[in-house]
Amino acid sequence: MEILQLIGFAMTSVMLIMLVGKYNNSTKAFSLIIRLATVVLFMLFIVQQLGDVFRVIQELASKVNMESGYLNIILKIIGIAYIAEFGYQLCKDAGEEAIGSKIQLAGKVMIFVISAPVIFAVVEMVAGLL
Amino acid sequence: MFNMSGLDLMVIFKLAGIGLGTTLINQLLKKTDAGEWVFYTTTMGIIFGLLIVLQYVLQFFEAVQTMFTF
Repeated sequence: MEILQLIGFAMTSVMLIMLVGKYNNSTKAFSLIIRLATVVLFMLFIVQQLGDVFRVIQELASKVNMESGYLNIILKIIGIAYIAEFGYQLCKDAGEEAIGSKIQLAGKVMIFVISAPVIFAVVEMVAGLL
Repeated sequence: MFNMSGLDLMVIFKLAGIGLGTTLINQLLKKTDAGEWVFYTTTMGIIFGLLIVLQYVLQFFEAVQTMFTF
């Protein structure tokens, strides 16, 4: 029942943020620190679980005899998307939505840059068939 | 209960304690007419809290790097 522990952890953190933030307007930065700490601890836990999931996917892919380079690219794209979303939500919670949307834009550009070799390979294959 | 499967609850309580302690010190200073020190104590508290969080952020970056460079 780990999900119950996660929810309890999140609720405690939310209550502490409300407690610290409502006291004084000049210590709102502390609520950001607590929010950052909660999110980072959550992400540490999630990254450990995701490591297991990725290992399973890799084993499946090696059984299908797919080129492992392509699976690498796909997993990297997934990782960039998750981390860009994580950074965007943090900035939006702190009130800096402009910085957050630039993080999202940077994530999209980097995903395109990483998948460029795949696009080249596909175009070459199509051109070789013609 | 405070250390469940990688989630460390004591750190969150420590950070909240630092925040509340800084607020207390600020109100004490306001009562005894030393208002210009409020800014410095708040900044010191924020820097202290950030140092504690920084260690966890570094751990997170390391975990992400080892996961994405098989």
